[in-house]
Amino acid sequence: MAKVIVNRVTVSYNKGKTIAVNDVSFQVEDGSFCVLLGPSGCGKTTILYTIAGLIRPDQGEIQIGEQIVTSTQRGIFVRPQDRNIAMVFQEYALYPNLTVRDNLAFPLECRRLNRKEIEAKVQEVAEMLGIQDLLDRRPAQLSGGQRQRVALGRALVRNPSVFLLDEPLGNLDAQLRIQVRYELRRIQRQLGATMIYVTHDQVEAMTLADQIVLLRNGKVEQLGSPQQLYEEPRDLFVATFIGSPPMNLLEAKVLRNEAGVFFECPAFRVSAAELGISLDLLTEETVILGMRPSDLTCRPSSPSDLGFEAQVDLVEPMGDSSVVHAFVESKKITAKCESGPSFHETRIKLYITPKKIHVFLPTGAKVRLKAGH
Amino acid sequence: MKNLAIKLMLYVLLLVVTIVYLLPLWGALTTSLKSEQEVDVTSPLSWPKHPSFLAYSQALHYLRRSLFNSFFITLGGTLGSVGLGAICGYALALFDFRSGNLLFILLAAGIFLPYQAILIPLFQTIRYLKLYDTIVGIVLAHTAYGIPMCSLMFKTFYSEVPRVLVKQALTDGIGPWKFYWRVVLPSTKLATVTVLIFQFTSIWNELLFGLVLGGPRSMPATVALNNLVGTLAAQWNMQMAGSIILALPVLFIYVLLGRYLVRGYMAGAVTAV
Repeated sequence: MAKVIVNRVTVSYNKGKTIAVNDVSFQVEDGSFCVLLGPSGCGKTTILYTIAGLIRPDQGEIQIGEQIVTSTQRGIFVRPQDRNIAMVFQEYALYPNLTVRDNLAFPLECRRLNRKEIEAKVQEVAEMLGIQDLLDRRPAQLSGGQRQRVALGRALVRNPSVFLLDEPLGNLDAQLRIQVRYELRRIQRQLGATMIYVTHDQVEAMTLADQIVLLRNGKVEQLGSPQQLYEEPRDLFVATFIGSPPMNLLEAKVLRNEAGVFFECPAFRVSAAELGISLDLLTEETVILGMRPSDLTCRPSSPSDLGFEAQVDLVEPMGDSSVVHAFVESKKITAKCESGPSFHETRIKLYITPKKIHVFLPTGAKVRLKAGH
Repeated sequence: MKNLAIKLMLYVLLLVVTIVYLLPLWGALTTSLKSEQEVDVTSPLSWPKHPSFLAYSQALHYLRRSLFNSFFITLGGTLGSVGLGAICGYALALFDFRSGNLLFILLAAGIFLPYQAILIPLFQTIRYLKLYDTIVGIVLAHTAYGIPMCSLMFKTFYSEVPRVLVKQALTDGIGPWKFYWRVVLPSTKLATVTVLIFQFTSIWNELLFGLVLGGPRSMPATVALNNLVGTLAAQWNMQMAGSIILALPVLFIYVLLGRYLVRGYMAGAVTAV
């Protein structure tokens, strides 16, 4: 396995008219699971293809292990077939005329392994993925989930430097997706494999990744562990993209008087001091307050918690918890409360610890000066 | 009742057209089985009183060498143009490369280029290469002339191969050639058969290249047959026998592989895999 370094890569289409990837840099550590996350059209697949060597970038350098495989400056370009990578596509892309066994063995045959080694490898991977019984079938005779496993297996037999996965679970149904997701993570840990994984599904990203590269319009929006992105979103985009249900946003007026600076929104009024925000830098008239649905509770966890009333619109019970959709004046609020209280009443009181409120400027940038940071 | 009448009329019409279409073939068959004298005194469409294969053995004797020429010319020309056309089509369909579009346009232009327009330069080139009156020369001409059509036919077929498979192969460490041999070619047998038949038929039946580039040593059977008309007193029975002998391989192939051909021509609508 190997680390992967992507250094200032820019890719454009249509002779430079459309910039798909704009000066993107990141590093994937040896043996770690990196997810390229973002809405469709953000350039995540383009980056993956550039690492694979399927696309030549306009600018930039890519290093796999100790080898520089792409460098526009030094004029280096290693062909995809010589990069020792393994790729899994959303479409599975199994060779239609070959049996499952041959699909797994074909890449090995091309690397001049002898037949015994190949047979042993195929058997080992087939067992790991539970597809021993399918080895003599052709792709057309397999279900979607089985095809996905074979595609994964074909990547696993090869001991590549890095695995590149392009929305590999995109065509599976919800239940299967969770199962394969788990298996993928388990295998990755077991092999200590370096994996780069493209998805637009933030839940997938959160559950799989050691490191998330969140992209938007071809640029890196934020880079970090799932926890970092969740707890310390850099701006409004990251805050609303990560987390399900998405973060609640309330516009608040900035009030200044002798007692200090306050934020006033339909739900409550809170002092900047309580939120741990330094005031000198704040010149705006309004800010946006962000609250994670899971940070809103039905019972105060401490006396200093802010409480406010809301009009219940709909409750979605999920067994261990319930998602409450409610209105504060005309603003919609979603809270994820642990079960217990019945929601027969039409009004509900919600609480939040002030330090858990995220404050954003109208431009979308986060006000970062929280106490202790 | 009305429907039945229309249907009946339609069938009668089709039958008439079919008969008109097949009459020359019938005439060729009956004439080829007649003696020279009988040809002169009977209608071309009447069945011979004493059918004999004498004309066939005469025709075979006369055409023997040219039939061998035809065979080698067709074999070489078909394999050459289909082989090279397949590679061109593969590249055009599944790989992006600089000036690919330009190449495509030039190839398409090659299809519309009439034979006659290039005949004199072609003749001069072949003579310059010292390949006049050789089978190799004629094969070369057929190969070059067949490449555009074959390339475009293969391009159409290979475009049905999902591009993601190519990407998969490349990232699997499988080079483009290996991918072609192990995956593309076996998945598109129908395409190959279709183009092979198409080329075989065109080259076997072709006259002009053979006439211009071939001489006494290398002329194909089409040219030899044509020469019968002028050189000998019209031996109609022998000419017809020769025509039928010449048509046999093509007929045979159509009967044997016709169903592939139809499926191949339709394959644009469904998948070639």
